[in-house]
Amino acid sequence: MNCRDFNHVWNRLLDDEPRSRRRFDAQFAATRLELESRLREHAAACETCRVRHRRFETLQRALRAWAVRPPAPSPSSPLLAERVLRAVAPRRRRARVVASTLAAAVVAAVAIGFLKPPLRPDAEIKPPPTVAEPATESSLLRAAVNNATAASWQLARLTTEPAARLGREMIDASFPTREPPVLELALLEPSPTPATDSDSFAPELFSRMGGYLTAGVQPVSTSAREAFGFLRPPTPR
Amino acid sequence: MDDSLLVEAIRAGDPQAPRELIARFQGVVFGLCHRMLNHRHDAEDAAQETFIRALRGIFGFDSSRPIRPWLLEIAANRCRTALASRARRPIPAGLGEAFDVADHRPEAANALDLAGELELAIGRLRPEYRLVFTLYHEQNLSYDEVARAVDRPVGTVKTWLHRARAELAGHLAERGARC
Repeated sequence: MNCRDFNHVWNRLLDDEPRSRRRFDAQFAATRLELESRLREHAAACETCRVRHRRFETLQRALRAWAVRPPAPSPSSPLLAERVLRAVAPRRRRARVVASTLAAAVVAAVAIGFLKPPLRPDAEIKPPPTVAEPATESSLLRAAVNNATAASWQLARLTTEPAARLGREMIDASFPTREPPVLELALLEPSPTPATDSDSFAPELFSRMGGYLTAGVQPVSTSAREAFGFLRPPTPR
Repeated sequence: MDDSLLVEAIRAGDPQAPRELIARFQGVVFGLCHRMLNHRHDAEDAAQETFIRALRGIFGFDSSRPIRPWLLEIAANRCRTALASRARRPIPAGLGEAFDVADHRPEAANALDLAGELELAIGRLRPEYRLVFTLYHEQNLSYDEVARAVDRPVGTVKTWLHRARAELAGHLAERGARC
C-alpha cells in the first residue's frame, strides 16, 4: 500500500460508515478488518500517514458518537402543517375571495356616490388621492375603490349638470316677469306670480309650464318639452 | 400507509394525507435545514417552504422514486437559496459568531464530547461540503442521491465529501480531540 492507496482506503472505510451501522454480515465485517489492518501496517511504516491515520481514527469514532446523538427538536407538527396547508390552499378560492371583495367595494363606492350631496355645477372634479405604497392586496383594493368613486362622481356630474340647466330654463320660462312671447298672450290668461303662496305655487307653475309647452313656447328647449311633455293638457281629437 | 400510497393519497385529494407527509418527514427535513442554516427560525422557514413546494409539485414527482431523497433535494435547494440571500444581506454586529456555532443543545456545547466537537467542526465547513457531508452521513443518502440533490456529478460529490472529511479530521485535531 502506498500513501495514495492509504487515503483511498480510508475514504472507502468512511464511506461504509453509515452502512456499517446497519450491516452485520460476516463478509462485510471481515473485509473491514482486513482493510483496517493494512492501514495500520502502512501507518506504522510511514511518518506522514501516521498523523493522518490518527486523525481519521478520531473522525471515525466521532462519526459513530455523532450518529447516535438525539436529533434537534423539530417544530410542532400541527403548527407547521397548518401553515403549509394554508399556503398551498387552492388559488381559485383566494381569487374568488378577492373578486367578491372587489365587487363589494364597487357596490359600496356607487352607493356612497349616490348618498353624497350633489356637486355644484361649477365645482371641479378632483382626482382621487394617489397613495404611494407597495402593490399589496389592500392597496390594490383601495385603488379600485378610489377609481370606482371617481367614476361615480364623474357620472353624477355628467347627468346632473344638464338636468339642472333644463330645470332652470323651465322655471325661468314659467315666470311672467319676463316679457312673454306674443303667442303666449294669445293663449293664456295672465295671473299673478304665486311666489308667496307655497300651496298653490307648484300646481300653478306646472300648469303654466304645460300651457307653454302646448303653445310651443321657444325658451323651452326641445329636450325640455319632451321631458315635461306629461304636463300638457290632453289634446282634443 | 407506505410512502408511495401516501403520495397517491395526496394526489387524490385526501385532506389528511398532506398532514401525514409533514408529520412523517418534518424531522428529516428540519434536521437538514437546521444543520445547513444553523438558525432555528431560518430552518423552520426553509422546512415550511420545502413542504409547500413538495405539495405543489407532487403531481410532477416520479412516484417510482423514494420520496425522502426528493424532499431532501428540495430542502437542500431551499437551504442554498437561504444561504445565498443571507450572504447578500449584512450580518448585524455580534451575530457573526452565532452562525458559526453548529447547535445550541447542551450536549453539543460540551467541548469534551467527541460528537459535540464534530458538530462544531461541521458548522465550520463550507456550505457545499457541509451539505454533502450531512446528506451522506446524517441523512444516509447514496452518492447518486446526493449528486441529484446538489445538482453536481457524482465525482464532484465524492471529492467534496473526501475534502470535508479531511477538514473535519483537521478541525478535530486542532481542538485536541483524541479517540
